[in-house]
Amino acid sequence: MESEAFRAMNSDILLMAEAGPGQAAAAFREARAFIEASERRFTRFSEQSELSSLNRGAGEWFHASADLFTVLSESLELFHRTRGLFDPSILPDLQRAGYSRSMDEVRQYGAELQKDGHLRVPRCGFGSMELQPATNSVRLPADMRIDLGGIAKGWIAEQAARIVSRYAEACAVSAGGDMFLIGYPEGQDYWEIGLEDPRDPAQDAATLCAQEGAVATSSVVKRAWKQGEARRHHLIDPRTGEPADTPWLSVTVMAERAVEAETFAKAFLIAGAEEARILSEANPGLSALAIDRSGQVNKLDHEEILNVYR
Amino acid sequence: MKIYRKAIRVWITLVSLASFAVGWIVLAHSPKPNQFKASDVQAMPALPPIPSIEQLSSGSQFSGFSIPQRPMARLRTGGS
Repeated sequence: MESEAFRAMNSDILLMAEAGPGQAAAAFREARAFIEASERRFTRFSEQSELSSLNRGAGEWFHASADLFTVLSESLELFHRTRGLFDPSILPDLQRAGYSRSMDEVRQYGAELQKDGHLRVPRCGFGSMELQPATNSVRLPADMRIDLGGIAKGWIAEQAARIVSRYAEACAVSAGGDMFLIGYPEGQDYWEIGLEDPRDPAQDAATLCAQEGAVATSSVVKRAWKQGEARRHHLIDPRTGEPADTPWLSVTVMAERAVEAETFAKAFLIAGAEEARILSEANPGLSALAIDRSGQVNKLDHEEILNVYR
Repeated sequence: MKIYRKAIRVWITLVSLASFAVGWIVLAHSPKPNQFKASDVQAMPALPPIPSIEQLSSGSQFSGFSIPQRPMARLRTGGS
C-alpha cells in the first residue's frame, strides 16, 4: 500500500493507494492538487475564497462554481435530515465563541474576545437559503454568513478518493480522520481503523473494521480553546448558539457518503443520547459510536452492517 | 644406417628411464593428502522439516517458514 501525507485544510491529510509506485505517485499528485484547490475555494479564512465572496454577497444572487453549488445543495438537504442540528449558518456564533481565525492561529495566539460577545446574534436559519440549480445560483439572506468547514472537508475527501481510485484498485483518503474508503487492502475484506480515545489521543478506544464508504468523527476535544476563562469548542448547538453541552467526547459515524458521515457525527454529538437515537432511527444506513467521558464506547444505532468493532 | 637406428633406440631408452626417475623423485617429495578424521567435520545446522503442499496451501499452523506480510494499511479517526 503506497501512501502520502501532507497538511491541508488545517488537518493532516493521508492518501493511500493499492497500486504500483508510479501509478500511486500520479494519483497522489492529482488528488493533492484537487485538495489544495478546493481548500482555496471553501476556506472562510481567506478573503479571496469563493465562500468568502458568497458571504460578502449575502442578500444578492451569487453565481457559484459547480463544486460550491454541489456542497451547498448537499448542506441544505442534510440541514433538513438532521432537523437543523447541522447548520452552516452558525458562523456568527462560532466567531463569537472565539473561532474567528484558523485553528492553527487560535492554538498559537489564543482566541479573540469578541466585543458584545455575550450577545447572541439572531439568525434566520440555513433553510432560508435559496438555490437555483438551472444557473448554479444561490442567495443567502442578507444577515446570513455560513461556514462549510466540516462538510466541505468530507466532500473533498470523497472526491479525492474517487480521483485516486482511477489509478488504484483500492484507496483511502483521510482528512484529519474524516475519510472515504474505496475497495479493500490486498488480502483484506475490510479496513482496520483505530478509533482514537478522546481522553488520550495516543491510545485507541476501539478498532473499527470498516466497509467501503465514509467514516467521520466529531469531537469536542480536538478543536477546543480557552476564551478568557471559558473553555470553548467548535461544535455550536444551533438551538442555543453556544458550544454544545454534550455527554459525549466524540461521535464517529460510518455512512455511504462522506457528507452524511460528517454531518451526522456532528448532529448526534450535539443532539445527545435520546435525540441521537431518534435521528438514527429516522436515517437508516448510518452506524454510529459515541465515546462518553468515562471512555465507554456506546453504539447509537441498530445497523447490522458497518458496525463491527472490538 | 643400422648404427643410426641403434643410436636412436638407445637415446629413447635413456630418455625414458631418466623421465621415469625424475617423476618418481617429484612424487616422492610432494605433500601427502590429509587423512579423514570424523572429528574434523563441522556439525550441520538443524533445519525445519520441509512443509507439504497441503500445509502451505491451507495456511495451517506450520511455522517452519515465515512468509513476510506487508503491513496492513492502518487509519485513525478522532475528529479534527
